[in-house]
Amino acid sequence: MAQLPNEILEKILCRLSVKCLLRFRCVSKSWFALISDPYFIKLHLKQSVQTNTNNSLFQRNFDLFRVALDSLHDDDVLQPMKIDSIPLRFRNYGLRSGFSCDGLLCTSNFINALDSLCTSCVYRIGYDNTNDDYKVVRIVVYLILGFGIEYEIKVYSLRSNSWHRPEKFPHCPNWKSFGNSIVCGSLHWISTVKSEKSDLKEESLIVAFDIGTEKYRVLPQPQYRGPYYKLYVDDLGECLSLSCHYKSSTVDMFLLKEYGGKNEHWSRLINATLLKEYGGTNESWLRLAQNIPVPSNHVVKSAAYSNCGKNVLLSMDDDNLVWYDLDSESLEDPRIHADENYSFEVETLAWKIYYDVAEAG
Amino acid sequence: MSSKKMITLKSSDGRIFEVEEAVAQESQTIKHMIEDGYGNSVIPLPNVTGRILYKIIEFCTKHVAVEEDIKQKSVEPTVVVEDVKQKSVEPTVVEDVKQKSVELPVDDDAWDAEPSDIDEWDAQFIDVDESTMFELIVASNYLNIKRLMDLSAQAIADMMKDKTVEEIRKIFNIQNDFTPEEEMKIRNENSWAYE
Repeated sequence: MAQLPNEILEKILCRLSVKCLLRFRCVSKSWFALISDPYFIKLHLKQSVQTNTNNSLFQRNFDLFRVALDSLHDDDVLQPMKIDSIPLRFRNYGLRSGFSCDGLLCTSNFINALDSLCTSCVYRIGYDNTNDDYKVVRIVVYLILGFGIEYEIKVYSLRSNSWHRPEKFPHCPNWKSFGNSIVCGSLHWISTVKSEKSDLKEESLIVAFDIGTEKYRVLPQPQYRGPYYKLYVDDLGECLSLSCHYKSSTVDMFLLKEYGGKNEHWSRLINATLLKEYGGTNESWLRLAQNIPVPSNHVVKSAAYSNCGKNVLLSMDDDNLVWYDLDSESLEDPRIHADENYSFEVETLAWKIYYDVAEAG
Repeated sequence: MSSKKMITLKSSDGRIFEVEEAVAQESQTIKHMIEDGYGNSVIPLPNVTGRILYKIIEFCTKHVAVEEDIKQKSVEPTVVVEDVKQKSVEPTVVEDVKQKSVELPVDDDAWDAEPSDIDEWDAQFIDVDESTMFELIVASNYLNIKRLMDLSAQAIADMMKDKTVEEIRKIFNIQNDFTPEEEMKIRNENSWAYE
């Protein structure tokens, strides 16, 4: 039998799991070259994301556990497997929220984390589309007694294997107001500033820091239905979500549709499948959910979509998870107790490209 | 006979197939040839054997029918076998060459099952031996039939996933050009993958 041309082989191999691909690297020199090629690695990632396969659930405490979601069946109980062989060089390092992107896991040394009552240190990793690079953003927000809060921002580029300081946004991010991950190529947060409008004492800005251009943008606000006391940004699917906590103890959730387009605005979403259109000319906020009853001082954020797209998993205070049904507009029981140590991730060979680049200096 | 336009295809081994234009156009390659004006003469497909072309026509016919929401009990491509005077033509299996439309002997089991779900039909369709799967993927790549390409690529991937490296080499007819030391080095880099 004649051998298959590479063009066809790629289309077959990109459907295999990472474990299979690593095994098949030693089939022959040409297979090794094909599987290691950055073009193929990206093809594999794209295939995984599009078909929603190769997903793993990672759990972090001080060790890393993984569940391969593809091999689960309906009644399975999650059996996390401890990962020993991931080349974590420093055993003191643990994983932090926002720690993953395209299968790259970002770990940080807890000793340097500086997390305390007076300091909040945040790391987020994301893919920089502009430069075909992975970047890690580190923001430290700290309280200076008698002075107020200040912050510091640094960015790490995997390609250059170095840190640098980008230009700072003139207003400090609110305490713990960062989105859990980098979405639409930007890190988002809320900054509350003194308002120039006469009827408000202060207003909250939704700030986007583009990790490619390293520039800031203030996003337009959605149509709020009343006075609010807190805003939180997060991501849902591939969109930016905003949860608005009204003073009336309800929460509305918005999604920013058509990110980066001319008419960017927040508006009401009815059909979850409309989501994947950012960068278009009609960027707009969609009201995903409204009137979610929430006791005051509790924080509601979006966590994930269900596979069918009809339900949204909401997290309450990072402690409880509850399903919200988009059609019936109601919260479902039971509530699931969880902690923020979980993250979904797509398993890829992406590390291989950058590992080689970094190793080569 | 329907009044729909028919397209004539010729396989590498000289077999002639007449198919409805809609079915032929499932292949982007053939579709472009038709658009370029070749639809009125015989379209030669030198990279596809008659056996595989038959299966591909079966696939395309089924999917066109499903899309048009026509309920057919069985899918039978119309085959016209002509006495082609070429040295390379092997004797056809069918005896009566002068008949207008002839059925090639087929595996009867292929027609018996009538799954209501197209996915089930596809699964049965692609449940063939490995060498046929390979022929199908090469042909569907050449003919640019995305649905069949995806189906056969997935079937081959599913077949591969539990195989060892040695089995893969055998199936794909690949010579191991690594030295034992080189191969050992690669295996050790990701030893967890071999468990």
